[in-house]
Amino acid sequence: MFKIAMDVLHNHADAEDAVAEAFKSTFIHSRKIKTIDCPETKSLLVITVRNKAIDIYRKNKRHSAAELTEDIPDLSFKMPEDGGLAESISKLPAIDRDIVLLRVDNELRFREIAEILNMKTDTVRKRYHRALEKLAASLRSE
Amino acid sequence: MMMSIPKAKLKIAAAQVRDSILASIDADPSVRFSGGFEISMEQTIKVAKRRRIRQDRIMRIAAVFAAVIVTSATFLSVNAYARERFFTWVHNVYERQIVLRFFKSTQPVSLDKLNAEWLPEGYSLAEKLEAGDELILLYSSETSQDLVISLMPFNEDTEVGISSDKQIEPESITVDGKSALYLDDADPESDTLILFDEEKGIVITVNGPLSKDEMIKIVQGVK
Repeated sequence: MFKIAMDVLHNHADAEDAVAEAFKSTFIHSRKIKTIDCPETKSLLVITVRNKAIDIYRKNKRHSAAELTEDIPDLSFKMPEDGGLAESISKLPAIDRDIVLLRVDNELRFREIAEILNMKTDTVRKRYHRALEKLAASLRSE
Repeated sequence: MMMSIPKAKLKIAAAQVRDSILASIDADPSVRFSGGFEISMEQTIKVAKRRRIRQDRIMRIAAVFAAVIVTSATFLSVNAYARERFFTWVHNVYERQIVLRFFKSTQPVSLDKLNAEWLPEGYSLAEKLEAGDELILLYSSETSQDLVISLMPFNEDTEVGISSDKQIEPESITVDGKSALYLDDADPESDTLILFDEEKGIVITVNGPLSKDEMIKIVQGVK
């Protein structure tokens, strides 16, 4: 978790703040946490830590959300190469991928996702539906 | 033409992506966290633990509501207004499970402006957390267990699913004309008071090692 925050912030104290905020958000706020040691909870923590770090980065630099996509590298991970839906989800912009994962894998409400990503609920809802349209289009083009 | 993706297919694909992301994350064993971080995490753990305890208490309080539904039948049959309001509150009753929903029309006050103006001696605010619509205030004392005050608004999203547990008999009380439930737990360090303040549009929950009178003074002092 700390490494994810450090990749965004490059500052020990800020990264600690991001991790602490993420744990608070995850274990106190989320009604969905039933088991701590499971992939869904770990994934929720990863997404939450990264977005808390981005929030801190945004506050420190006074960047807008739009500027951040260029400034901050995406998570580095090996994309599934199934040529199908999983690969298409991996290729979504990071914010849309997070929304899809939080909604589909973690089964969070749009309002809860909005809190984690520090966005408006309506924006999250719209981005989710647009992401699904993109995914459907990518399947059609196969 | 719009094509929908089957939910099951989407879920499997999302799980594949999640697993790929998790597999790519390496822990860094050389990281040493600061004292401030350790304290912050300890407080998080305390609040999370208290929250679980409190939710457990609320589960037990179902017994009271189930009892109220039965014993207030006469009252409800003669008072249409009370009946309407009561059943707006309690929508579903399934034997030992109920779902509480709060009045949609109530306009809650701004929670972040509320504070407990009275506290037992030795307690001070250790943490103030926003959990969705809920505001959680954690108070610590050097000589006693922590005290947690939770403030939640009444609105259509406030929904508490409760399972009945007959082990505890909570007491229905009135605090300054407002309905409240006091739960005298077997563990004297963990009693709970829940006040339904319709005037402010909030539910106030106090959980900690206090007497009933002290808890009443606390909720009276939330302003």
